[in-house]
Amino acid sequence: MRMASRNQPWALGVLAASLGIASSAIAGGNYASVPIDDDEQHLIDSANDLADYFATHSLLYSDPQVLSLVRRVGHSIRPQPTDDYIEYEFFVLRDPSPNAFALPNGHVYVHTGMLARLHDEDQLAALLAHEINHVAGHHGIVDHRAAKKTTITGMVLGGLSVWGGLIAVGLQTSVFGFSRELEQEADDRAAQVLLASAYDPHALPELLDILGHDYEGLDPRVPTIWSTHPEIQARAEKSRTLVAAMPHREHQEEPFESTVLGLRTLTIQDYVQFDYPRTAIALAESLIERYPSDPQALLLLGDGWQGMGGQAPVDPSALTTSDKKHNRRDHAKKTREQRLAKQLETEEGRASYTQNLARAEDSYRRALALDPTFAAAYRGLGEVYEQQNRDREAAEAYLTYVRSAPDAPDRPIVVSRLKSMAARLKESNSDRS
Amino acid sequence: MIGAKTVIVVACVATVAWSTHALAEKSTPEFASGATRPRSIALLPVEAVVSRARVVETEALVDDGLVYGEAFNAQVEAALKEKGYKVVVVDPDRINSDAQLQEYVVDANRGFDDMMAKYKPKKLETRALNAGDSVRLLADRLGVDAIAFSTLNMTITAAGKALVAGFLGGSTSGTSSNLAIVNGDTGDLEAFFFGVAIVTPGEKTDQEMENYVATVAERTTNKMPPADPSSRIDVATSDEETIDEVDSLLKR
Repeated sequence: MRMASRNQPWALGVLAASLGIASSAIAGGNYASVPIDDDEQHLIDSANDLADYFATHSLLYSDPQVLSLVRRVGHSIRPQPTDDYIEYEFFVLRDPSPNAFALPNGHVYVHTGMLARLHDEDQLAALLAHEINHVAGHHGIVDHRAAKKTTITGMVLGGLSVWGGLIAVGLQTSVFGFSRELEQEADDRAAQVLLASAYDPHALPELLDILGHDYEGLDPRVPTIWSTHPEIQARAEKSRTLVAAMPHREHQEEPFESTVLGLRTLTIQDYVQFDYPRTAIALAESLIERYPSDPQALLLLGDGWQGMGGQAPVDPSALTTSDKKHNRRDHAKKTREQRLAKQLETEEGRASYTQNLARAEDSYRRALALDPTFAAAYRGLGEVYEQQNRDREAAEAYLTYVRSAPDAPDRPIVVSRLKSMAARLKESNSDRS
Repeated sequence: MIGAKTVIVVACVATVAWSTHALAEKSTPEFASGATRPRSIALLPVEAVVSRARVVETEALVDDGLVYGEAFNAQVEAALKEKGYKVVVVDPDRINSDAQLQEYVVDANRGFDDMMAKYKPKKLETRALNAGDSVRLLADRLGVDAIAFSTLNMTITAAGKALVAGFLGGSTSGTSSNLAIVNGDTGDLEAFFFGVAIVTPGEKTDQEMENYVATVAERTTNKMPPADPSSRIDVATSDEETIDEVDSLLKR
């Protein structure tokens, strides 16, 4: 069923897992040539088909400059393929979760949400070096073979005893334990790849630090192959030790920064839309630091504060695991409106709601102070006023927006809000008269 | 022991039957009465997953998913047209050749998935499920009253696997699909239809697969009520009229 198979809105992991790339191997990689049998060739064929699947479902991010950047960096550090079924190619998926994965056929996919969090080309190189080593080490094939062995063992044990099922689960746990070894192997080799290139090897622990951020206070964070890895902080520390003696090199911020600016904006919008406001605020604030005179960055910040509803800003590190699990359950089961209604039942929630709307208004006003013709800020102000029941001011702001930006893509939405406002204004006018 | 197993099996069958019934035809009261029932529907590409369960693993047949997904959509299109709806088919070629449309479709799909992750029949009936502004923008762009999202899941099971599953549990053959209708004006989920078909174990020919697709498509769409143009209330107001009206109200 759709809701069962796609209940993680950003998870492509199900497909990835079915192709045997979701980190469940029980041995180290093999960096020499690995002949494959017919069954494994089928795995490669499926990996090739996946590119068509992503294209057909419009999931490929096709900005030519971003693609060119990722491909240039990827091809500059990749090794020669050891087998004819490996052909290195690099793709970007339109997905705000901070994720990347590699298929056994050499196809490496990076999510827009991952690119949006990186600071420079060196960190991108670190990410791709890690993924490339999953391909070069044939981790997908190794994983596939290991999974088959485990399944067979589990079935045999399962047939012998009522405890068989549990034993099979135990084997799976050991599989996940070995998986950490494979991830570590890819990290270790990535450091060597960076050392041999013009990039800074110290970008590797930086990358892992970035991925360790849990802005939302959810447990786990936005679930992906990368972010759910239980040892990401430990991996960051280990890679810091690994590169400690390696030379520091100057990071290349350009042309990376100018190339991914549009993608950063898109990703923050996605986080607002899909109810991850704390992440949106954190990324928008980072954008404002880089572009202090850009009204667009302030607009995104305002949208993030609006999305907070009645939530108080929290320090995720102060949350207990139980708090995080509760947050995650709430996030998964309740709609945004349901959670807001619940928050507004408490005084604390009402106070947070008022404060968040005030912060949003302040961001939109700052955007207009930078550029009084920046129409989208009026849309934001209209939304804030509407939530504050300031109907006349909301209607004025919306009118300014639709007149200043007649071709705005969200015009139908704003006009429909004006339609529903007309009735309230009529009522208010008749009360006044 | 056998008695306990029998009870469990009966309970499982009853649960499946109940949940299938619960999912089979859910709609808002307004959709059922015709007040919010659309006249025109845009049919997005189906999310199709075809997999083959073997003794030691289950593999996704990505290519087959694309082929049978297309066949499913064609069946749904025909069924909706027969019920009197104007159907706008939004195929992948059209989506991928129009960057703005692509943006809307990707966002609408995400909004829909996010909404369905929180699905409960009660929430549907009380209009607590909304796919967001992206669906409204998509409907506006396509000039339709509603957007139809659908899913097709097909699992083919090798005979050996079916035998193992019989003893030890695990994946078995089957086909299921669903069709959700989202209101293009409000983004609310209006209706949800679900269909299943039993697939016998063993390899299948292309023709057999197509037959399963046709069966499950028919079972998914047969509870969808026909279009009822007379019951939908339409107040046609242009954007400019709305803007002028609000402007004049503000000046009073």
